[in-house]
Amino acid sequence: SQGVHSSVPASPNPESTQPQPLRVLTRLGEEYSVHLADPTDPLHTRALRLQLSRLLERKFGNIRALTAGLETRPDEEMERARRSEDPPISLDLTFHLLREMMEMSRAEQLAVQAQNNRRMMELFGK
Amino acid sequence: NEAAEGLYSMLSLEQKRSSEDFIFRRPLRCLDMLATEGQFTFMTAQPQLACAAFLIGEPTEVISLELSDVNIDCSAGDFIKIFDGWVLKGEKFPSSQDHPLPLRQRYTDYCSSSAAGGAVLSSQNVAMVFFRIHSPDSGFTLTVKKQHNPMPCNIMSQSPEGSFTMVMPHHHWNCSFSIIYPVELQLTELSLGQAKSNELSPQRPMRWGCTGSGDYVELLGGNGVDTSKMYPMADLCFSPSGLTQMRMGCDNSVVRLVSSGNYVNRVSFRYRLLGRSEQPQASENSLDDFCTVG
Repeated sequence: SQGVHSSVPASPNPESTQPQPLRVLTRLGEEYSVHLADPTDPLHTRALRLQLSRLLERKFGNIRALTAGLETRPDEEMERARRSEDPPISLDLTFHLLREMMEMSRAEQLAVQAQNNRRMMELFGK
Repeated sequence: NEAAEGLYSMLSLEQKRSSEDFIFRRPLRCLDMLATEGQFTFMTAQPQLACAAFLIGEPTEVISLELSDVNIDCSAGDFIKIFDGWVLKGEKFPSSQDHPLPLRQRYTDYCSSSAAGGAVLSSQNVAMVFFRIHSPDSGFTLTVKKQHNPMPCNIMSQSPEGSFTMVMPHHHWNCSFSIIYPVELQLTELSLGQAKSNELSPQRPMRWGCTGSGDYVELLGGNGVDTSKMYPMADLCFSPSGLTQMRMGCDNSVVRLVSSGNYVNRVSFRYRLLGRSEQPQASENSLDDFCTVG
Protein backbone atom coordinates (compact mmCIF):
# COMPACT_ATOMS: atom_id res chain seq x y z
CA SER A 1 0.00 0.00 0.00
CA GLN A 2 1.07 3.55 -0.50
CA GLY A 3 0.62 4.73 3.05
CA VAL A 4 -1.86 4.77 5.84
CA HIS A 5 -4.66 7.25 5.91
CA SER A 6 -5.67 8.92 9.11
CA SER A 7 -8.60 7.60 11.05
CA VAL A 8 -12.02 8.73 9.95
CA PRO A 9 -13.45 11.33 12.32
CA ALA A 10 -16.70 10.66 14.10
CA SER A 11 -19.85 11.79 12.37
CA PRO A 12 -20.54 15.43 13.08
CA ASN A 13 -23.19 16.37 15.60
CA PRO A 14 -26.15 17.65 13.57
CA GLU A 15 -27.14 19.92 16.43
CA SER A 16 -23.82 21.71 16.33
CA THR A 17 -23.92 25.23 15.01
CA GLN A 18 -20.36 25.06 13.81
CA PRO A 19 -19.80 24.29 10.13
CA GLN A 20 -18.94 20.64 9.81
CA PRO A 21 -16.13 19.60 7.51
CA LEU A 22 -16.67 16.90 4.96
CA ARG A 23 -13.49 14.90 4.69
CA VAL A 24 -12.15 13.10 1.66
CA LEU A 25 -9.24 10.88 2.57
CA THR A 26 -6.75 9.54 0.10
CA ARG A 27 -4.75 6.44 0.60
CA LEU A 28 -1.61 8.53 0.80
CA GLY A 29 -2.76 10.02 4.04
CA GLU A 30 -3.58 13.42 2.63
CA GLU A 31 -6.86 14.81 3.78
CA TYR A 32 -9.08 17.27 2.03
CA SER A 33 -11.83 19.14 3.80
CA VAL A 34 -14.82 20.84 2.35
CA HIS A 35 -16.33 23.35 4.69
CA LEU A 36 -19.96 24.24 4.28
CA ALA A 37 -21.40 27.37 5.80
CA ASP A 38 -24.75 25.89 6.75
CA PRO A 39 -25.36 22.18 6.29
CA THR A 40 -29.13 22.67 6.81
CA ASP A 41 -29.42 25.03 3.86
CA PRO A 42 -31.63 23.63 1.08
CA LEU A 43 -28.84 24.40 -1.39
CA HIS A 44 -26.50 22.28 0.71
CA THR A 45 -26.56 19.33 -1.64
CA ARG A 46 -25.97 21.35 -4.77
CA ALA A 47 -23.22 23.38 -3.13
CA LEU A 48 -21.63 20.19 -1.91
CA ARG A 49 -21.73 18.66 -5.35
CA LEU A 50 -20.20 21.69 -7.04
CA GLN A 51 -17.55 22.22 -4.41
CA LEU A 52 -16.62 18.59 -4.33
CA SER A 53 -16.32 18.38 -8.09
CA ARG A 54 -14.09 21.44 -8.23
CA LEU A 55 -12.02 20.30 -5.29
CA LEU A 56 -11.38 16.85 -6.63
CA GLU A 57 -10.70 17.98 -10.18
CA ARG A 58 -8.28 20.56 -8.89
CA LYS A 59 -6.52 18.47 -6.29
CA PHE A 60 -6.37 14.97 -7.67
CA GLY A 61 -4.12 16.00 -10.49
CA ASN A 62 -1.52 17.32 -8.08
CA ILE A 63 -0.96 14.33 -5.85
CA ARG A 64 0.95 11.14 -6.43
CA ALA A 65 -1.07 8.44 -8.01
CA LEU A 66 -2.83 6.01 -5.74
CA THR A 67 -1.24 3.25 -7.75
CA ALA A 68 2.23 4.52 -8.50
CA GLY A 69 3.50 0.95 -8.55
CA LEU A 70 1.27 0.10 -11.46
CA GLU A 71 3.01 2.56 -13.74
CA THR A 72 6.20 0.57 -14.18
CA ARG A 73 5.42 -2.99 -13.09
CA PRO A 74 1.71 -3.60 -13.41
CA ASP A 75 2.05 -7.35 -13.62
CA GLU A 76 4.19 -7.50 -10.50
CA GLU A 77 1.73 -5.34 -8.62
CA MET A 78 -1.14 -7.55 -9.68
CA GLU A 79 0.85 -10.64 -8.70
CA ARG A 80 1.49 -9.23 -5.24
CA ALA A 81 -2.15 -8.35 -4.93
CA ARG A 82 -3.15 -11.79 -6.07
CA ARG A 83 -1.03 -13.35 -3.38
CA SER A 84 -2.20 -10.95 -0.70
CA GLU A 85 -5.83 -10.69 -1.86
CA ASP A 86 -5.60 -6.96 -1.31
CA PRO A 87 -7.07 -5.03 -4.20
CA PRO A 88 -4.21 -3.43 -6.17
CA ILE A 89 -6.18 -0.28 -6.74
CA SER A 90 -8.49 1.44 -4.33
CA LEU A 91 -10.07 4.74 -3.51
CA ASP A 92 -10.51 6.22 -0.08
CA LEU A 93 -13.81 7.83 0.66
CA THR A 94 -15.67 8.30 3.87
CA PHE A 95 -19.04 6.61 4.14
CA HIS A 96 -20.56 10.04 4.53
CA LEU A 97 -19.31 11.09 1.10
CA LEU A 98 -20.27 7.77 -0.42
CA ARG A 99 -23.81 8.19 0.89
CA GLU A 100 -24.01 11.71 -0.51
CA MET A 101 -22.97 10.39 -3.89
CA MET A 102 -25.53 7.58 -3.70
CA GLU A 103 -28.29 10.03 -2.90
CA MET A 104 -27.31 12.30 -5.78
CA SER A 105 -27.15 9.38 -8.19
CA ARG A 106 -30.54 8.20 -7.00
CA ALA A 107 -32.00 11.67 -7.59
CA GLU A 108 -30.48 11.71 -11.06
CA GLN A 109 -31.94 8.27 -11.80
CA LEU A 110 -35.43 9.39 -10.81
CA ALA A 111 -35.13 12.56 -12.90
CA VAL A 112 -34.01 10.60 -15.96
CA GLN A 113 -36.82 8.11 -15.50
CA ALA A 114 -39.38 10.90 -15.27
CA GLN A 115 -37.97 12.52 -18.39
CA ASN A 116 -38.12 9.24 -20.29
CA ASN A 117 -41.70 8.69 -19.21
CA ARG A 118 -42.65 12.15 -20.49
CA ARG A 119 -40.93 11.54 -23.82
CA MET A 120 -42.63 8.19 -24.16
CA MET A 121 -46.03 9.76 -23.64
CA GLU A 122 -45.20 12.47 -26.17
CA LEU A 123 -44.15 9.82 -28.65
CA PHE A 124 -47.39 7.97 -28.23
CA GLY A 125 -49.27 11.21 -28.63
CA LYS A 126 -47.88 11.77 -32.15
CA ASN B 1 -38.52 -0.89 -16.58
CA GLU B 2 -40.88 -3.56 -17.83
CA ALA B 3 -43.78 -1.18 -18.47
CA ALA B 4 -41.61 1.05 -20.63
CA GLU B 5 -40.29 -1.94 -22.57
CA GLY B 6 -43.84 -3.11 -23.24
CA LEU B 7 -44.81 0.29 -24.57
CA TYR B 8 -41.65 0.46 -26.68
CA SER B 9 -42.59 -2.71 -28.51
CA MET B 10 -45.80 -1.06 -29.69
CA LEU B 11 -44.01 1.83 -31.41
CA SER B 12 -43.64 2.12 -35.17
CA LEU B 13 -40.19 2.06 -36.72
CA GLU B 14 -40.20 5.83 -37.06
CA GLN B 15 -41.21 6.24 -33.48
CA LYS B 16 -38.47 3.87 -32.38
CA ARG B 17 -35.90 5.93 -34.25
CA SER B 18 -37.11 8.99 -32.41
CA SER B 19 -36.73 7.14 -29.16
CA GLU B 20 -32.94 7.03 -29.67
CA ASP B 21 -33.04 10.38 -27.89
CA PHE B 22 -33.99 8.41 -24.81
CA ILE B 23 -30.33 7.51 -24.32
CA PHE B 24 -29.18 9.58 -21.39
CA ARG B 25 -25.87 11.33 -21.96
CA ARG B 26 -23.75 13.51 -19.75
CA PRO B 27 -20.07 14.08 -18.97
CA LEU B 28 -18.37 11.66 -16.62
CA ARG B 29 -16.72 13.26 -13.60
CA CYS B 30 -13.38 12.21 -12.14
CA LEU B 31 -15.26 11.07 -9.03
CA ASP B 32 -18.72 9.95 -9.95
CA MET B 33 -21.56 7.62 -9.13
CA LEU B 34 -23.88 6.35 -11.85
CA ALA B 35 -27.24 4.77 -11.14
CA THR B 36 -28.81 5.17 -14.55
CA GLU B 37 -28.25 3.70 -17.97
CA GLY B 38 -26.65 5.96 -20.52
CA GLN B 39 -23.47 7.17 -22.12
CA PHE B 40 -20.95 9.03 -20.04
CA THR B 41 -17.96 10.70 -21.66
CA PHE B 42 -14.83 11.67 -19.80
CA MET B 43 -12.68 14.42 -21.27
CA THR B 44 -10.09 16.36 -19.39
CA ALA B 45 -8.04 19.44 -20.09
CA GLN B 46 -5.49 18.52 -17.43
CA PRO B 47 -4.02 15.29 -16.04
CA GLN B 48 -6.38 13.31 -13.86
CA LEU B 49 -4.39 10.66 -12.04
CA ALA B 50 -6.83 9.14 -9.58
CA CYS B 51 -10.37 8.85 -10.81
CA ALA B 52 -13.13 6.40 -10.10
CA ALA B 53 -16.74 5.96 -11.05
CA PHE B 54 -19.04 3.89 -8.84
CA LEU B 55 -21.91 2.14 -10.56
CA ILE B 56 -25.00 0.83 -8.83
CA GLY B 57 -28.27 -0.70 -9.91
CA GLU B 58 -31.39 -2.13 -8.39
CA PRO B 59 -30.88 -5.29 -6.30
CA THR B 60 -32.21 -7.45 -9.15
CA GLU B 61 -29.96 -5.92 -11.79
CA VAL B 62 -26.45 -6.48 -13.05
CA ILE B 63 -24.46 -3.85 -14.89
CA SER B 64 -23.10 -3.99 -18.43
CA LEU B 65 -20.17 -1.68 -19.19
CA GLU B 66 -18.67 -0.95 -22.58
CA LEU B 67 -15.87 1.43 -23.49
CA SER B 68 -15.79 3.32 -26.76
CA ASP B 69 -14.01 6.29 -28.34
CA VAL B 70 -11.09 5.54 -26.08
CA ASN B 71 -8.25 7.99 -26.52
CA ILE B 72 -5.62 7.24 -23.88
CA ASP B 73 -1.91 6.47 -23.89
CA CYS B 74 -1.35 3.18 -22.13
CA SER B 75 2.42 3.39 -22.63
CA ALA B 76 2.44 6.67 -20.72
CA GLY B 77 0.72 5.11 -17.72
CA ASP B 78 -2.87 5.88 -18.59
CA PHE B 79 -5.31 3.16 -17.68
CA ILE B 80 -8.97 2.27 -17.48
CA LYS B 81 -9.80 -0.67 -15.23
CA ILE B 82 -13.24 -2.09 -14.61
CA PHE B 83 -13.76 -3.86 -11.29
CA ASP B 84 -16.50 -6.39 -10.61
CA GLY B 85 -17.70 -4.95 -7.33
CA TRP B 86 -16.73 -1.95 -5.22
CA VAL B 87 -13.41 -1.19 -3.63
CA LEU B 88 -13.27 1.26 -0.78
CA LYS B 89 -10.30 1.94 1.45
CA GLY B 90 -8.64 -1.27 0.41
CA GLU B 91 -11.72 -3.38 1.11
CA LYS B 92 -13.81 -5.00 -1.57
CA PHE B 93 -17.48 -5.84 -1.88
CA PRO B 94 -18.40 -8.60 -2.40
CA SER B 95 -15.65 -10.15 -0.31
CA SER B 96 -13.36 -12.77 -1.77
CA GLN B 97 -15.32 -15.36 0.22
CA ASP B 98 -18.61 -14.44 -1.43
CA HIS B 99 -17.59 -13.59 -4.98
CA PRO B 100 -17.53 -16.32 -7.63
CA LEU B 101 -14.32 -15.04 -9.25
CA PRO B 102 -10.79 -14.74 -7.86
CA LEU B 103 -9.61 -11.18 -7.35
CA ARG B 104 -7.46 -11.01 -10.44
CA GLN B 105 -10.36 -11.97 -12.70
CA ARG B 106 -12.52 -9.25 -11.24
CA TYR B 107 -10.39 -6.59 -12.94
CA THR B 108 -10.68 -5.89 -16.66
CA ASP B 109 -7.83 -3.73 -17.85
CA TYR B 110 -8.36 -1.84 -21.09
CA CYS B 111 -4.62 -1.59 -21.63
CA SER B 112 -4.03 -5.28 -21.15
CA SER B 113 -3.32 -7.16 -24.33
CA SER B 114 -5.33 -10.08 -23.04
CA ALA B 115 -8.44 -8.01 -22.42
CA ALA B 116 -11.21 -8.82 -24.88
CA GLY B 117 -13.28 -6.08 -26.40
CA GLY B 118 -16.99 -5.73 -25.90
CA ALA B 119 -19.14 -5.35 -22.84
CA VAL B 120 -18.16 -6.41 -19.34
CA LEU B 121 -20.99 -7.73 -17.18
CA SER B 122 -20.91 -7.43 -13.41
CA SER B 123 -21.81 -10.31 -11.11
CA GLN B 124 -23.97 -8.17 -8.84
CA ASN B 125 -25.63 -4.76 -8.76
CA VAL B 126 -22.41 -2.80 -8.26
CA ALA B 127 -19.27 -2.19 -10.31
CA MET B 128 -16.48 0.36 -10.52
CA VAL B 129 -14.30 1.96 -13.13
CA PHE B 130 -10.86 3.27 -12.18
CA PHE B 131 -9.06 5.50 -14.62
CA ARG B 132 -6.00 7.67 -14.95
CA ILE B 133 -5.26 10.00 -17.81
CA HIS B 134 -2.12 12.08 -18.17
CA SER B 135 -2.61 13.91 -21.43
CA PRO B 136 -5.03 16.76 -21.97
CA ASP B 137 -7.85 16.18 -24.41
CA SER B 138 -7.72 12.43 -23.84
CA GLY B 139 -10.76 10.56 -22.76
CA PHE B 140 -13.28 7.83 -23.36
CA THR B 141 -16.99 7.05 -23.39
CA LEU B 142 -18.56 4.60 -20.99
CA THR B 143 -21.88 3.01 -21.98
CA VAL B 144 -23.89 1.69 -19.06
CA LYS B 145 -26.75 -0.75 -19.43
CA LYS B 146 -28.63 -2.81 -16.92
CA GLN B 147 -29.74 -6.40 -17.19
CA HIS B 148 -32.14 -8.37 -15.06
CA ASN B 149 -30.56 -10.78 -12.58
CA PRO B 150 -32.93 -13.67 -11.85
CA MET B 151 -30.89 -14.84 -8.87
CA PRO B 152 -29.46 -11.83 -7.07
CA CYS B 153 -26.71 -12.60 -4.61
CA ASN B 154 -24.51 -9.93 -3.01
CA ILE B 155 -26.39 -6.68 -3.13
CA MET B 156 -25.54 -3.15 -2.14
CA SER B 157 -28.61 -1.19 -1.17
CA GLN B 158 -29.04 2.22 -2.80
CA SER B 159 -31.10 3.55 0.05
CA PRO B 160 -31.25 3.32 3.85
CA GLU B 161 -34.83 2.07 3.78
CA GLY B 162 -36.49 -0.80 1.99
CA SER B 163 -37.17 -4.48 2.03
CA PHE B 164 -35.86 -7.53 0.28
CA THR B 165 -36.11 -11.30 0.08
CA MET B 166 -33.03 -13.41 -0.55
CA VAL B 167 -33.63 -16.88 -1.90
CA MET B 168 -30.92 -19.47 -2.37
CA PRO B 169 -32.22 -22.64 -4.05
CA HIS B 170 -29.83 -25.55 -3.69
CA HIS B 171 -26.68 -23.56 -4.32
CA HIS B 172 -23.61 -23.48 -2.13
CA TRP B 173 -23.41 -19.70 -2.33
CA ASN B 174 -23.08 -17.21 0.48
CA CYS B 175 -24.92 -13.99 -0.24
CA SER B 176 -24.72 -10.62 1.47
CA PHE B 177 -27.13 -7.71 1.44
CA SER B 178 -25.22 -4.60 2.44
CA ILE B 179 -26.71 -1.34 3.69
CA ILE B 180 -24.13 1.38 4.23
CA TYR B 181 -26.16 3.04 6.98
CA PRO B 182 -27.00 2.36 10.61
CA VAL B 183 -30.40 0.70 10.45
CA GLU B 184 -33.12 -1.04 12.36
CA LEU B 185 -33.52 -4.42 10.78
CA GLN B 186 -36.58 -6.65 10.99
CA LEU B 187 -36.51 -10.23 9.76
CA THR B 188 -40.03 -10.94 8.60
CA GLU B 189 -39.53 -14.42 7.23
CA LEU B 190 -36.83 -17.02 7.65
CA SER B 191 -36.89 -20.43 6.07
CA LEU B 192 -33.73 -22.47 6.44
CA GLY B 193 -32.83 -26.01 5.70
CA GLN B 194 -36.01 -26.88 3.85
CA ALA B 195 -35.22 -30.28 2.41
CA LYS B 196 -35.83 -31.27 -1.17
CA SER B 197 -39.17 -32.87 -1.88
CA ASN B 198 -39.80 -36.34 -0.54
CA GLU B 199 -37.19 -35.82 2.15
CA LEU B 200 -37.83 -35.27 5.80
CA SER B 201 -36.92 -31.94 7.26
CA PRO B 202 -33.55 -32.22 9.01
CA GLN B 203 -33.54 -32.42 12.74
CA ARG B 204 -31.69 -29.49 14.25
CA PRO B 205 -29.81 -30.29 17.41
CA MET B 206 -29.65 -27.50 19.93
CA ARG B 207 -26.39 -25.65 19.63
CA TRP B 208 -24.88 -22.56 21.12
CA GLY B 209 -24.81 -20.28 18.08
CA CYS B 210 -24.88 -21.57 14.56
CA THR B 211 -21.39 -22.98 14.43
CA GLY B 212 -21.48 -26.13 12.39
CA SER B 213 -24.79 -25.36 10.74
CA GLY B 214 -24.49 -25.30 7.02
CA ASP B 215 -27.46 -23.00 6.55
CA TYR B 216 -27.96 -19.86 8.59
CA VAL B 217 -28.37 -16.11 8.48
CA GLU B 218 -25.87 -13.82 10.11
CA LEU B 219 -26.16 -10.13 10.81
CA LEU B 220 -22.89 -8.29 10.42
CA GLY B 221 -21.85 -4.81 11.39
CA GLY B 222 -18.76 -2.82 10.62
CA ASN B 223 -17.23 0.30 9.22
CA GLY B 224 -15.94 -1.08 5.93
CA VAL B 225 -17.46 -2.79 2.90
CA ASP B 226 -15.70 -6.16 3.20
CA THR B 227 -18.14 -8.53 4.89
CA SER B 228 -15.35 -10.93 5.85
CA LYS B 229 -13.89 -8.19 8.08
CA MET B 230 -17.13 -7.26 9.77
CA TYR B 231 -18.34 -8.21 13.23
CA PRO B 232 -21.04 -10.85 13.60
CA MET B 233 -23.83 -9.27 15.62
CA ALA B 234 -26.19 -12.21 15.54
CA ASP B 235 -26.78 -15.45 13.73
CA LEU B 236 -29.93 -17.41 13.16
CA CYS B 237 -30.11 -21.07 12.27
CA PHE B 238 -33.65 -21.64 13.44
CA SER B 239 -36.75 -20.01 12.09
CA PRO B 240 -37.85 -17.63 14.85
CA SER B 241 -41.40 -17.87 16.13
CA GLY B 242 -41.78 -14.12 16.44
CA LEU B 243 -40.48 -11.03 14.75
CA THR B 244 -36.72 -10.65 14.93
CA GLN B 245 -35.62 -7.07 15.22
CA MET B 246 -32.26 -5.51 15.76
CA ARG B 247 -30.83 -2.01 15.76
CA MET B 248 -27.38 -1.91 14.25
CA GLY B 249 -25.41 1.24 14.90
CA CYS B 250 -22.68 0.63 12.33
CA ASP B 251 -21.77 2.43 9.16
CA ASN B 252 -22.45 -0.79 7.29
CA SER B 253 -25.19 -3.28 8.19
CA VAL B 254 -25.24 -6.63 6.42
CA VAL B 255 -27.64 -9.55 6.20
CA ARG B 256 -25.68 -12.59 5.06
CA LEU B 257 -27.30 -15.86 4.03
CA VAL B 258 -25.01 -18.88 4.27
CA SER B 259 -26.17 -21.90 2.32
CA SER B 260 -24.85 -25.45 2.14
CA GLY B 261 -26.49 -26.12 -1.20
CA ASN B 262 -28.59 -28.93 0.20
CA TYR B 263 -31.73 -26.93 0.78
CA VAL B 264 -33.78 -23.97 -0.36
CA ASN B 265 -33.14 -21.06 1.97
CA ARG B 266 -35.14 -17.88 2.13
CA VAL B 267 -34.92 -14.77 4.27
CA SER B 268 -37.11 -11.68 4.06
CA PHE B 269 -36.35 -8.48 5.89
CA ARG B 270 -37.04 -4.80 5.97
CA TYR B 271 -34.89 -1.97 7.22
CA ARG B 272 -35.06 1.70 8.02
CA LEU B 273 -32.53 4.36 8.85
CA LEU B 274 -31.67 4.78 12.50
CA GLY B 275 -31.81 8.31 13.75
CA ARG B 276 -28.86 9.51 15.79
CA SER B 277 -30.89 9.45 18.99
CA GLU B 278 -31.98 5.89 18.27
CA GLN B 279 -28.54 4.44 17.83
CA PRO B 280 -27.48 2.15 20.67
CA GLN B 281 -24.93 3.66 22.99
CA ALA B 282 -21.67 1.85 23.59
CA SER B 283 -20.81 0.91 27.12
CA GLU B 284 -18.55 3.49 28.72
CA ASN B 285 -16.27 0.77 29.96
CA SER B 286 -16.12 -1.10 26.66
CA LEU B 287 -12.63 -1.81 25.49
CA ASP B 288 -13.76 -2.84 22.06
CA ASP B 289 -13.62 -0.35 19.26
CA PHE B 290 -16.61 -1.58 17.26
CA CYS B 291 -19.97 -0.22 16.36
CA THR B 292 -22.87 -0.84 18.64
CA VAL B 293 -25.90 -3.07 18.44
CA GLY B 294 -29.08 -3.12 20.40
